This record gives sequence, structure tokens and C-alpha cells, in this order.
Amino acid sequence: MNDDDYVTALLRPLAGEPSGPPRIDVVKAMRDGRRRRRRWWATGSLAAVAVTAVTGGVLVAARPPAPRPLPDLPPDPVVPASCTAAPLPAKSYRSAEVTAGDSSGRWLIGRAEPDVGTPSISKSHLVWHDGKLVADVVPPVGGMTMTDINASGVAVGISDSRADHPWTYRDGTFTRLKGGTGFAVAINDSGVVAGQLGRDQKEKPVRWSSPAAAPEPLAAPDGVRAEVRDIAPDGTIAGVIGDFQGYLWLPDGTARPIPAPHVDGKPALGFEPLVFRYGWLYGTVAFPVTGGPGSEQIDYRYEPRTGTWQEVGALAMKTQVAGPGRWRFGQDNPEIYVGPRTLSLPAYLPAVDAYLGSFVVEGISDDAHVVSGIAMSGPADLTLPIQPLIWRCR
Amino acid sequence: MNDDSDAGYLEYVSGRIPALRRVAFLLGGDEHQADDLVQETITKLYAKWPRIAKVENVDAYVHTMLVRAFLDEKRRGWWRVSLRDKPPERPAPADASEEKAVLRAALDRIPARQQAVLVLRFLCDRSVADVAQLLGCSEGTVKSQTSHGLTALRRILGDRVGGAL
Repeated sequence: MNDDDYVTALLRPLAGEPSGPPRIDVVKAMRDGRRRRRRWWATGSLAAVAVTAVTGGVLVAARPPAPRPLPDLPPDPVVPASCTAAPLPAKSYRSAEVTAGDSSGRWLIGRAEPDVGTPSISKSHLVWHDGKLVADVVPPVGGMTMTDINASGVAVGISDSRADHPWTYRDGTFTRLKGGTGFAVAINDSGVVAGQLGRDQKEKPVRWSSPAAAPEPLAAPDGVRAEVRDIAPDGTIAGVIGDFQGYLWLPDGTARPIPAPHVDGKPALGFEPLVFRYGWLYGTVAFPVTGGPGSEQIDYRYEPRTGTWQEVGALAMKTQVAGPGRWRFGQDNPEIYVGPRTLSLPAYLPAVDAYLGSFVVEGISDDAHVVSGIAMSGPADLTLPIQPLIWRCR
Repeated sequence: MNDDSDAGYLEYVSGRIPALRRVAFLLGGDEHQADDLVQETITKLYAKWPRIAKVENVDAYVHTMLVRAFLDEKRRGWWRVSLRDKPPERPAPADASEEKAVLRAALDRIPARQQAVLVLRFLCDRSVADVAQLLGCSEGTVKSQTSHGLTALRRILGDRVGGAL
């Protein structure tokens, strides 16, 4: 027996697989990894996403006690009966993506060749209106990503060329927002922009009352990182303080933490807001895991006016949320929240035939009739192009 | 970099966790520690993903990160805490679980890089060239580490294969 055979035989009893369930938390890895990033981080930083299924969900009061009548909650759109998928035109570009869609479903923005080259290359930005390509504009600097667009076709985002800067786009022109380094996260239909200014992971939340306005700081507790996630139609800005303290900056200039819900008598560890939609703030609630470290994250939505919570899913990251400050993830069978329910989206079969079987949702209209997104390679094969898509639902 | 890389990251990681866990488990022999190693590896991976996603062989890169995380932990001594740290005393353990414990304890007593080389080559079926890439050393070094590791194991265990085992 030679040495190799000897060691192989010697160690054979140690062969095998771990027998227990994995304790690996990808969401936590992303959160921790995000802190370790320096520059890339900025863009609407990752937030979350959502969950599975569900037909209804459970309403829970923010504070356990006294039974009370159901509050007057904003109406949800009807879940469409069916959707059809179609490619978005992208001229002769080999690859293109949508990065944001507006509340009306009429405006979409994205860019060409997102998978090629480095972030420092200035890539053509594409704007679609009613599904037609209406603009193809090269930004004045590289590393541009538009993270949100409103119903007037005004977009905001970030360039990370050399230093991060907040930008806005309108009618074919990119303009830097005032205030120096930082990034814009979201814009509402009134043109109010939420973002952060500063640098080196110390960017502070700010609001621009319009894309041309000077920034106004948003007060936040000292000593912990504050991240802006989205802005509601009424100007309310949601964010997260530290790891899991949801926070609201209200239009009247006040701010308050979002109290985490109690569920089954147990207080949650916290709430991480993701996106305003249908009058609710969607996000993930973290619960302690019995008998182990870490936390379990479940999708909820929160109605800020009444303080009502509703569970909308099971574990986070099974249903798409598609907001400006969101995690993006691919699914073979994509689905997105419509109210407390989920809408399943059909795969675009030519994309699947081209090995683009992983779909990411980037936007949904308030009436849930228009959904936008991309098809990409599941294993992140960079030799395959990205296909921008639109789903029309009725 | 924009967050389109998140989709790629999630797709990548979700498909690789079982393989990473298996290698981590074989390296250290402890399930919880394996999970910790994978957690650390995918955290680092996320932090670097905008750049790593563009390298040619992401799998090799990630496995290198995993092996280095293992070596780092060994160096810090943390790894030993929950391992059965006692040297094997009896020559021929009676049952399979005890046999595993003896082997694992012996492996844990040899230098970390030698341990990694033996596990990667003979439990993970990696070639000498692969192991050299994972450890960032030459193939000659892998061979000499194999030899030193084997000598150390024999010293601890005696010549067991083909005998009592």
C-alpha cells in the first residue's frame, strides 16, 4: 500500500456529510458583509424581501392589549388573474436591465450592458415609457445606477465613480443633487427625494424637497448607522437605525422609531423596513430563534398611521418586494406581493430557452397591472446577457 | 457597484452552501464550526462580491476563502475548543464513532496546513494542483506537507490501516 492509499484508507471513517440542518444565515451574511464593504455599498442598499405565499396573513396590533375594531386601513389592489411576460426593447444592446419602475407602471429606467466591464465605465441609460424605449443617454460620469423613478419620469440614484454622489435624471439630462458626496435612494411622485450625504459609511439621512433643492438633514440617533430605505407619497421616509430598529421621518419634521410587534406574546427583535407600497411599509421582522443564536426573519407590513402590523409571508426572501432600497434576488418562479397576497409571474420562455431562468422583479405599479424586471442566468454566468422584461397583468 | 450583484450573489450562494458546508465539515469535523466557517466565508464573499463576481473561477476563489478561514481559526486556537483534544490512548477503538473521534483528534494535533492538505487531498479528493491553488502554495509544498502530515499522523496513531482497523 503506497502512502496515498494508506492515507485514503486511514481517513475514510471521517468521510461524510453534516447531518443536521445548516445554521447558515445568508441574510445575516449580506448584512455583515455590507458593513465590510466600503464604496459599493451605497445604492439603495439591500434590503429585503420577502416571502412566500400566503393568502391573507394575520393582523396583529402593535401593542398587545385591548381588542379594538379593525382600523381604517388603506385599500389593496385586486390581485390580477393572469399576467403575460414580454421583452422590453433595448435597441441593439446585447444586454440590458431595468433598475426601477414607477407607481403608475408607465416609467421604467435601467441601463445597457450592465454585466460588462467595470462600474467605472459610463453605461448608456435606457428609459421606457408605456413599454417603449424613449431615451438612451450616456451619463456624464461612470458607475451610475438609478434606484428609483417617479410618475413624472424623474429618477434618482448614485454614481460611484471615484466617490459616491447623488444624481437625478429628467428628460435626457443627468444632474448632481446638491450637498456633496453621498447617494439618493428614492423619490416620490411629488418629487421629494430621500438619500444620505457624507462618506465612508458615515452618510447621514437627508431629504431634498425637490431635485433642485438644498438637502435638509434628517435627525437620527447618534452613534449608530442610519439608512434610508424609501419615501412614501406623503413624504414620510422610512429607514433603519443600527441593525433592526425601523425608523420613520415624518413630513411634519418629527421622527420616531417603529415599535416592533409582539407576536404570540413574544416581542420581535426589530423591524427592517424595505419599501412603501399600497399605503403600507413592507419589511422584515426579526424574531429570536428558540434555543439557538441568530434570528428568523419574516415578512410583515406596517401601516404607519394606525400602527397596524400584518404578517404577509413566511421566511424573508421568498417573495419579491421590488423597492428602491431592497435586496434583489433571482427566482425561477417569480412572485411579488400585491397587498398581503402574492402574485405569481410567468417565466418568459424565450429567456428560459436562452438559459436565463432566474427572474428579478424591479417594479410594480400601484394597481398591480404592470410589473418590470429582468431575466438572468441563475448561476450568475456573466457570459449570458440580461434580458429586461415587462409583465402586463389583468 | 450597484446592487444587481445581490441577485447574482444570492443565486451563487444558495447553490454552493451544501458543498461549502461539506468541505468545512471535513476540514474540522464539527458541524457547528463548519457552519460558522461557511457563514464567515459567505460574509466575506458578499463584502467582495462586486469584484469577485467578475473573476474567472469564483468557486476556486470561494473555496480558498473557506480554507483560509479554517486556517485562521486554527491559528487563533478557537477551533480546538470544542474538539476532542485528548490524544488517542487505545490502539483499536471498538465502534465507528469512537474511531472517528480518535482520528479527528489525531488530525487536530498536526499543524493546520498539514491537516488541511490531508483532508483536501484524501477526503475531498482534490488534486495536488487544486490544493496548491487553495492554499496559495506550490505543488511541491503540497507534496511535502502531505508527507509531513502523514508522518505526524503515523507517529500519533501508529500504523493502523490494514491492522486493527
